[in-house]
Amino acid sequence: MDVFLLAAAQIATPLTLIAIVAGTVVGVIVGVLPGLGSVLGLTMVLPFTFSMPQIPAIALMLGVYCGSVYGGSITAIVLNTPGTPQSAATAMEGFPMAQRGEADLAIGWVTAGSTLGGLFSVLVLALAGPLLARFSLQFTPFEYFALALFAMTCIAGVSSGALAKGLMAGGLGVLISTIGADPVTGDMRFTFGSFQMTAGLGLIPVIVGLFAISEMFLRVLDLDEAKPSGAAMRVGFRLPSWVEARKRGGPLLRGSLIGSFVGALPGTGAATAAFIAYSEARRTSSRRDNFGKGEPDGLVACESANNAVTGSALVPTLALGIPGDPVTAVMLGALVIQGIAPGPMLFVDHLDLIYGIFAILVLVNLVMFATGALGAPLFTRVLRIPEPILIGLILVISTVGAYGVNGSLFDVWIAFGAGVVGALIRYFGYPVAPVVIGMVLGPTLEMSLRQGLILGRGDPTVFLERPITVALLLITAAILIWPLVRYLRARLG
Amino acid sequence: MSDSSPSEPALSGEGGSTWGRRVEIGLTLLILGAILVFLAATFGRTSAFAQASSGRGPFFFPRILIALLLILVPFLLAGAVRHGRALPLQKPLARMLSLIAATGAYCALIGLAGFLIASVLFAMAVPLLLGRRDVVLLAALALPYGAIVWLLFEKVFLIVLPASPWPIGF
Repeated sequence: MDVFLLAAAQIATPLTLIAIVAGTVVGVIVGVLPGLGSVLGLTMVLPFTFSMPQIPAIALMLGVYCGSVYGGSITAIVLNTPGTPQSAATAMEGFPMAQRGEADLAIGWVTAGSTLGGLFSVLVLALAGPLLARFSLQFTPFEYFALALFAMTCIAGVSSGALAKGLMAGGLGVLISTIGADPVTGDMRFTFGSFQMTAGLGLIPVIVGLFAISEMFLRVLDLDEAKPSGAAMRVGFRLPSWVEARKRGGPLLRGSLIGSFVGALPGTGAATAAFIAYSEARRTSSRRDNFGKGEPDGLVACESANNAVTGSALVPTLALGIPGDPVTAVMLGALVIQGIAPGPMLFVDHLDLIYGIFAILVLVNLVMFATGALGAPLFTRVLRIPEPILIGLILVISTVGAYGVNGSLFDVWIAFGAGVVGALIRYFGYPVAPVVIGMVLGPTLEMSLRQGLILGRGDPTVFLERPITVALLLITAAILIWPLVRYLRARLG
Repeated sequence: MSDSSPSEPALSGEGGSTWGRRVEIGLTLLILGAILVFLAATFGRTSAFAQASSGRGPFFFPRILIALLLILVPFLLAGAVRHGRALPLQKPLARMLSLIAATGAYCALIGLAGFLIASVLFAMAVPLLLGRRDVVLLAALALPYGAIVWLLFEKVFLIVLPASPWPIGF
């Protein structure tokens, strides 16, 4: 009971409440602007968290995360252009509704669906997080090695069509994480005579470069393309009637369950959850003939799914310290900067913080509903900001983000270099998400491998004596081998 | 920046794909070069403690990783040879390169002239580079934006941003 009271006291401060509202509003705006995405939104607010206390900093990040996932649906409805990848499925039903003059009702459906899906995921986090943390207290270096390898392979395999490019990106991320002092012996590695490199390459500057700066560099390639304007579309907010809403309970629940399950898996995210939920809604709906013409079943399913990911994605991040996607990787980096070490001990030593996060997520989802209800017409106005101006402004704030971590100009140059490399590799189809995940998981991979070998007195077969480790290694091997099997079957078949 | 004229080869279509393939092969070889540089660095001196460690020393894990990455390189080269993405047209490519150069100059200017001055100039320069010509509006946006960001971080969040070498307070 004391923990609950402490968590409530931490939330009920003006700074935390301001952070929740500000973060949600910024997140929705970022989500509305096509192509920016949750990761860029998080990197933009990151510098604001450096000097904030833990709870308001987390509140700001969670507000941006949830708000950006929801915000993309507004653009999807108004312009048939998803503001974020998570909202691609929303456009399929939302835009037809807008075309027949029901944009306000579509926004009402997605706002309600997102809020309820998000609240459902908080329940999942509250139930599954402590269970997973308790279960993982039994984990030894062997299990952590296999789990990190499994997560890396999933992310590398899912994030782009070419497994080889994904694995190379992930591998390079892990290699970058080895720069600096060896965690076991203290020997310097790959510093190439540079004093600044002895601390390694900072995760935040690399994230800022790979996601924010490279995105701005690539956007100028499409500046001449005609983009749809939302100026002609009247945007409002209207909730559906209770009679209509009651019919969509099934898609809402199924979407929330799918989003919660998918969100906890590494390598998958809100976009995957939204499409799976949409397909499932189409398959099971009694109104499936209306799909593609503006059927609320589809809207509710994909929006509840993509917001249900937000809480469940935090389950492995907080309980194991293993991020499942770039968004949670950025959040994990921010938590570390705040002095919070994600992992099973977080649920033992910092229960007040955990309950605080649950409470923040509930509040964020409620504020998101209010933001959508009150602000939907306003947010679409940001689409009128000319892109050349927006690019300059985003590059400035991103640079502050890179600088603010350590107050070092070296980090600014790291971000710039990562931006140039990121633009080049993204143009040729290399995903950048595995690079970031590799940097985050690299230390876990290496430390658990070397600790395992120390425990096994140098014998690598000791990794095969633990059932969970073997199971995870087999699944990882299957993920790696399956594309080759499919290729051979296609050639022979 | 002028559009490509008939006398200049377009960087799209068949020719673009060929150049795109070449650039992607070059990128793959660059990645290979970087990996080999890291590999060479693993043969540096290590402490006696490190050599005696049954965790196999500081370069044990990087060498395994580098070996796995080297296995991937032929697959990437084969993909680059088979499927080439066309390069962007000259005008957008030149725009992108100029933005990259401007951002590099901005990073350098932060250290020389301070964050606020560099940011205001950069926030004006980017839209000008990308085709906007309404200088007054750009200045009216860049000045308050730079000032607000500077004030927020310097005075509210107490993150000291690089200052100019002149005694002007920012």
